[in-house]
Amino acid sequence: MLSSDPKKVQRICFANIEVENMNKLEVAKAHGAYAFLPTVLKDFDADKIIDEVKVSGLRGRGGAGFPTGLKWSFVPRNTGKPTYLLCNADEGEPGTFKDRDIMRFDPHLLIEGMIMAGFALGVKDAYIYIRGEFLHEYNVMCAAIDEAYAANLLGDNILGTDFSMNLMMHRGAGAYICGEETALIESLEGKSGRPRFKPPFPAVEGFYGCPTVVNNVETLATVPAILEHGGAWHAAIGRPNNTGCKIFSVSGNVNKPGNYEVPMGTSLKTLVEDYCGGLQHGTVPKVVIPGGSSTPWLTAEHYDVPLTYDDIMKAGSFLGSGAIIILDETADLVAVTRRLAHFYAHESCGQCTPCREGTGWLERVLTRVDAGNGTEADLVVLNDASKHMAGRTICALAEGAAAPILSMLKYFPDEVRAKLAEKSS
Amino acid sequence: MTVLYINDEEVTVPAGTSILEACRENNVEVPYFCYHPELSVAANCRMCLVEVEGWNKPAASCCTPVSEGMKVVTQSAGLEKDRSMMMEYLLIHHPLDCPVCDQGGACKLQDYAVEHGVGRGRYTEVKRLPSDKDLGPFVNTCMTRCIHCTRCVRFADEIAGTGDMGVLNRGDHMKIDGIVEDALASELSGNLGDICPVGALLDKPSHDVSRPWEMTRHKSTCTACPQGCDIVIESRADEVMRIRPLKGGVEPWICDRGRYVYDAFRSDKRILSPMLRVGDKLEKASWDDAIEKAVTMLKGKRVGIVFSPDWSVEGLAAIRLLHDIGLENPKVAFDLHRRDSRPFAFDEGLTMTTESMEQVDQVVILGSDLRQRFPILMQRLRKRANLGKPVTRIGAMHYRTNSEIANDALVRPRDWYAVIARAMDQLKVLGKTAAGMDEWMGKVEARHEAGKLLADALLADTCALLVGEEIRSHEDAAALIHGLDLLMRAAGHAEEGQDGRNLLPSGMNAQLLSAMFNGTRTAAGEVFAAAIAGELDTLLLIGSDPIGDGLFSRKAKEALAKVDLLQVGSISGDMVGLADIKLPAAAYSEIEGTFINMEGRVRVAENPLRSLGEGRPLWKVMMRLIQALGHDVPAVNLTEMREHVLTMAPDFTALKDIWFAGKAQEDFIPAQRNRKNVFLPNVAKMNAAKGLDVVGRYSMYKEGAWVRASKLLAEAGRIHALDDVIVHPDTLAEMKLQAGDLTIMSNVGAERFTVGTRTDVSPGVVFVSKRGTAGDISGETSVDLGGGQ
Amino acid sequence: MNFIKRHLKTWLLWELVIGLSLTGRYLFKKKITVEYPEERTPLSPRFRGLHALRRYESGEERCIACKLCEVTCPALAITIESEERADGSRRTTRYDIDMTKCIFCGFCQEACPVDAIVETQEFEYASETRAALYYTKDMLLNVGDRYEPQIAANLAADARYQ
Repeated sequence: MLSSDPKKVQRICFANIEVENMNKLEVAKAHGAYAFLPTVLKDFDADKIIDEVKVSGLRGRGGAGFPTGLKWSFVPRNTGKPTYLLCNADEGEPGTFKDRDIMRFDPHLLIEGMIMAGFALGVKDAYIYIRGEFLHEYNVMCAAIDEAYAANLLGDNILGTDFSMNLMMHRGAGAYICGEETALIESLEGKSGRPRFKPPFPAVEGFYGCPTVVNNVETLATVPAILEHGGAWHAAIGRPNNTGCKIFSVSGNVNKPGNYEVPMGTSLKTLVEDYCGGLQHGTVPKVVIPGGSSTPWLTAEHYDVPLTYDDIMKAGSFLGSGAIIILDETADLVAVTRRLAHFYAHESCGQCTPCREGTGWLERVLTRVDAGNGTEADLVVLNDASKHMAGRTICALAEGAAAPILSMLKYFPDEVRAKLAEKSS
Repeated sequence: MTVLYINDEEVTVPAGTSILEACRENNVEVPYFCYHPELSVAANCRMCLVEVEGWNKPAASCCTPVSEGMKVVTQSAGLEKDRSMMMEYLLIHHPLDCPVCDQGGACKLQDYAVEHGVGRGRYTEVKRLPSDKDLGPFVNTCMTRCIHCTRCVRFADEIAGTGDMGVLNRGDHMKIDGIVEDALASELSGNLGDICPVGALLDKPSHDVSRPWEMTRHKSTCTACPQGCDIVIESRADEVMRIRPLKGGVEPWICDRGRYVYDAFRSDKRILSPMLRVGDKLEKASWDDAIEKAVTMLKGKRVGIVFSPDWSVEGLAAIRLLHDIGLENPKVAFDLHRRDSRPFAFDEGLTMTTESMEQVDQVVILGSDLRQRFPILMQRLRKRANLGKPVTRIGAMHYRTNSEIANDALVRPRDWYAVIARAMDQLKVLGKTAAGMDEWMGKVEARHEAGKLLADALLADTCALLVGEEIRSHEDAAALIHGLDLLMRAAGHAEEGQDGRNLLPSGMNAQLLSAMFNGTRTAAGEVFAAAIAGELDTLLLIGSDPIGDGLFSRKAKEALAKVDLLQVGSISGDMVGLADIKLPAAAYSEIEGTFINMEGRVRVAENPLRSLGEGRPLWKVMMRLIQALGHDVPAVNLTEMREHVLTMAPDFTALKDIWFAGKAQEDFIPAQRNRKNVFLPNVAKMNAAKGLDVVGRYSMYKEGAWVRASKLLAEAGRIHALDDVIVHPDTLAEMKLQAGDLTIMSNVGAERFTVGTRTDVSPGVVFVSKRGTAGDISGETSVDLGGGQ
Repeated sequence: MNFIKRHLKTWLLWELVIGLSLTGRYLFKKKITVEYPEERTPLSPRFRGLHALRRYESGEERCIACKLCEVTCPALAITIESEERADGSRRTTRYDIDMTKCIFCGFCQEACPVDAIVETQEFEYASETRAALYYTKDMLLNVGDRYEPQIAANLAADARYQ
């Protein structure tokens, strides 16, 4: 049970993460799952739910940090078309592994969140688009959905009310780009996953041309707590404009990597030292990638940065999905960048010219540089080719692909030059 | 309307326009590859980036809608760098083979490389080497040149409706591919070479032959079907290299039939000089000798004239003059696809433009294989279907359209009375009726449920009726069309301004021909019957190929064996060895002339190709004949001829405006209406017919003398061959027969053919492919089927 | 005075002496003429003489039928027709140069992206008929075969100024 005193709340989505067999409905119910759902379905209406979520200050946990309540309020009503709710569980960002834990250990939290969100948006059909590799999580979710159907938590006339909603699982086929909401929609429609340009935004014209809301797993899993305790309660956790708790997936050169949910505003240093058992080597990290591999790097000078959307943006990066990758001085940054460039070249959908050609080009140049066959001219190419890729494409993949390279060239040009010298000297 | 600023200039465009379109409308240059005005927006080339004040990154102008007060900048140092980087990205895998690429000289990539690119690329790694595809006889591929703009994919999806091109793989392994290893199944495939902005898809027949800068362009009119598209003939000296749609013309595409017919311009079937029969052989002769001989065949003789409707307006008027002044009471016919020569309540020609057919609430196709016969009209309907607007179709077969058909019903040709009567019933119940409807309905007892679809569609606010060949070539077509006219009047779709009665013609200039020849004309079958009966001495064929085309080829063969044949035309068709005299007339590409298309648009061809042989414009040949027959001629030059045409068709003021006032066309030339005559159904005749109705199937690659002379189209015809004889399996089951060799008993006699089955055809109908093994039977109306021995 | 001076010059053949002295001076100077055709003056590697079509070492003709020479020719002396050869490569079926039209401007060899059409140092191709000055593809290839060493040497000599 979550404390009704916001000052005491340390976890929201992970509140019951350590409970054995939380994926079973009776265990979940024993720990408060679906307890507040009948109240929502009977006493709340769409406007009230959306208002509560707006008041809570909840921002999308998938990466962009867009206010969830605002997103929901953009959905046009009475269009004559169905509205769809899609849960983005295609957790593909390198470094991120938070959503799978929610789905693996507490699937009913997500289902409850989706029922509430679906109720607010007047949804008849909702989908969870789960990453193809998450087979175990897929099975857990399917079993949980079956239980929920059997308990009349899903399907027709949920808990005896007028509200009916179906929830379907859909497995992706292993494309990183399908984590982008419009590519996810394309993929779910049965096409190849390629992002659409915006406008029109999915809220107006999304899945099969109908109004569609796409939310991250963590975002939806936060909704039940917000409705139960009120938007103001959630807004009091964390920092203004960066409210609530956030799960950080910490990996890299720390002693205890893993998922940690902490209130927003906790400093990076606290997270690493108090929760993750400190750094493996040295006292300050060399590079911190704060929000998954596609966010620009931070360095030792930012070690004290509070973990909020705004503070990290001020430091020059993005909080993204909260996947913090810590690299210390043992890391070969050119090799890291090459590996990331390979990832993005492999995952580019290929529709926009700069990303299609640029990611492959950058990977090949970096491979050559990493092998010690680079020249000074290659650094100019790396800079030009990544700079003019970012922000010139339909989706943000190109920006993500450019970020590590531009960061490396910005903060550690000497390290790259040292590689150039290896063979030429 | 939205007001915005492009490079500080205030411009006003309709709301929802994209920035790129706003720039194009205002002649502001923005480079682009993937955008195409007729295709959906893909926004993938990223070449059209512009800066918008207040935005932190450049915007792709093709997919960004304008907003009020937006300040757009299309030229800046930042954009120049972006564009040069875009060119560098595009060129890293592009081969440096411009000198051997046909696109060179007319290539966007080349132009932009000069304008925005840097001189030298920095890419030194391996290059991508996708393999080439086989996309059929008209599209040459060189996929290493592809820049992945996906115009071809969108064309196949949206315009052709076949969807047989797609994108495979992702990242820089992405490639454009034919989804099946087969020729494109589209009749519009030739357009792919035009829309590809680089040299990846090129025109195959002219591949590696010529260069864009060598071309002379001739604006002309395609006469391959009544659509009469504006075309540009591109020639190098006298040799035609390509035919393309006119840029900025009404129809942005042309079909393969109209595009590749040029192969016939130099075929050995052309009539290039006067020929005279000497013994068994035709020999070249002088114009004087040939005319002298022709006079002996015409003067004082009983003459039948069969001409093609595809000549220019001037030529057709001259034929009428020959008929009136030169000859004594000749029998005249021109439509080889019409059995019933009585005037129709609404005669051939459309009342609507193809564009407006995209807009109306309902379109009903009655008995027409539109994709084969009017590919460009079908494309308009496909565009309509893509917008989610319904198309209803009633006909003998679910003809393939590559488009969504909302309602579809199968009927036999003999069922049409019942279909119309059923629709009349429904309208009458709703209180909608027209004078004479009861009388018409009273003649028909049966009712066919397909009539419900027709009536439902007629109840819409606006409705376009497209009456096709199954009705037009019906034996009792006048009665059917009278019935349809009553229906349309009852439903209120016959008033001025929203007239939806469209009868699809079989040739060009239908409006002029029905104005000029109604009352004079007979059915072509009657002319041949008269010849067979010995009532004629001479047949004068002017451009017509009754053996190769139309419904009367069996009769025509018989007739031509009996009488003398004087052939005037540009191509001999299938009449090889039959003519006694041949006089060359210039082809449509070789004349200054005027054409009227099925919508009533007037098209004037101005700078023709030089005539290949001794051919003269048809009207001059006719004048020469009239003179030689001893009469005065009213015109000796084109202006005089045109003045005379106006005296023959005084209602056609549009012609006058265009010819003499130099005005652009304002009014469309209307189709003829004949309200006076009442034609009632002759059901008894239908009931007396043989057991199964015959529907002749038409292949766009085989119909027409020009088309048959084109080797390119012959190859396409081989690839897209139609089944020779097919019936519905139920029809066979009812008769206790098996598919295979069966006997077909018709008026021709009993013959054995291989009969196949298909389930998407109406039971009770035998489908015979024209120009197939059973081609002769395609002209019959009904047959019986018997077992094979 | 003038009268006497004039008569002296006339009777002493003074102009003749001046003229002969010039002749005498040149008689002993180094000769600057050559005895063509036994002797020849040296030619620049850029000399623009008879045209030739070249081949690669493998014997494959260089020309790819891009028609840039044809379009750049200011005298319209070049006529090309092309088609796709059986192996898929773009080749000429006709490559004619009318030497009676040619003005030897050298634009054709400058336009050529593959160094196929070049002008050799050959200038002795006068003929008794006009027809013989109409060079076809075979004739041009023959010229190329005959002069290839010279052409290659000239191109090499000029390469560093390109």
